[in-house]
Amino acid sequence: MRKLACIVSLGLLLFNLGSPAQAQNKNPWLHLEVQENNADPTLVKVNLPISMVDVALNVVKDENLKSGRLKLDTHDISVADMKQLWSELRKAGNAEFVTVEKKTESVRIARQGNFLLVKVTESKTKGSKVDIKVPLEVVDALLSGPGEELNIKAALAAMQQKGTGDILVVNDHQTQVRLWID
Amino acid sequence: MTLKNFCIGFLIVTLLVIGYVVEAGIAVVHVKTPDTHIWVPVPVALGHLAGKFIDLPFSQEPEFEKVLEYREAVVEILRQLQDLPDSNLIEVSKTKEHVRIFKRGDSLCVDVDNANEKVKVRLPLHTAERLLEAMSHRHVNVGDLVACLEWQPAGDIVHVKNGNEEVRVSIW
Repeated sequence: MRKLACIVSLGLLLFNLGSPAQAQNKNPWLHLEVQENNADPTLVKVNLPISMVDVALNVVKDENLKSGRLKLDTHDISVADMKQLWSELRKAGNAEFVTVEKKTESVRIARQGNFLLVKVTESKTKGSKVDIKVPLEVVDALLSGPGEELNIKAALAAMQQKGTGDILVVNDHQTQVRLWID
Repeated sequence: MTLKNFCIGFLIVTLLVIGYVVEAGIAVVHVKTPDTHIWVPVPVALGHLAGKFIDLPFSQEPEFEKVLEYREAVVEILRQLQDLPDSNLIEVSKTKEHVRIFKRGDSLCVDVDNANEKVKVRLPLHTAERLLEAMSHRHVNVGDLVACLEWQPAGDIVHVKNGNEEVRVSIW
């Protein structure tokens, strides 16, 4: 009987220790840090729960951003092309999709496990580096919008479901950007 | 005997009213410039009653109605803020300017510090909710806004320091 009580107490203790972490994971935070090293150095830090960003997205009424969906304003590649390309890449499994090695620049786009990785490194003289690591589900959600729209709201919801970690890291001698979730 | 009862009754009612007015809080506006020094204590409960007769002119403006479109989102954000731990939400640092929006206890705080002025705002979340509620009506009056300050924890709500000038609004 005493043994059973001990086991129950231990179980309850473990449950209580686990619950704050579980609650925290339910609503992860989005963090953005931007540092500009120009004539007037600027450091911007944003720490917000994803659920709050989601609420804010709902109310933004911009020409290109409505109801959490961003109308892509570029002529380089259409969202339809992106969707088609992505559906092909998604099927490929772990693979290097693009590798460009130049004297001044290297680009690598790959799928590694559950993540899409984009790495751009410029030569040492410029010293720029871009690291993007996005869970596949987030890309799926991002491309789930109708027409030429990126579904930011759905991407945020997917981020909420997925784990924590860096999403975007940009480093050049002028600007450092880091976007991550925990 | 009747007069005595009346006096006792009057005294009790007066004490109750004073107790209520003091408990509801006293808003103190303090303005300090090189030439003037103004200190105005306003019992919030009395300001609430007196302000009922003063309508805010901007409540009829179309811009104000536009702001109200965001009401539901702000209500939701305030609700979420209440559940958050103390944290720095937004921070911008430049060489000569520092802006910080953060949550401390039950309040949302904004600090702006630059070469010209220092601004500190502490808005209790409960007050923000009541403010929003008050501003949702068609005719907003000063009394409704002052009522939002009732029963708030003591402390500074707004403190602006600009060179030799200083304005402070506190709740006692």
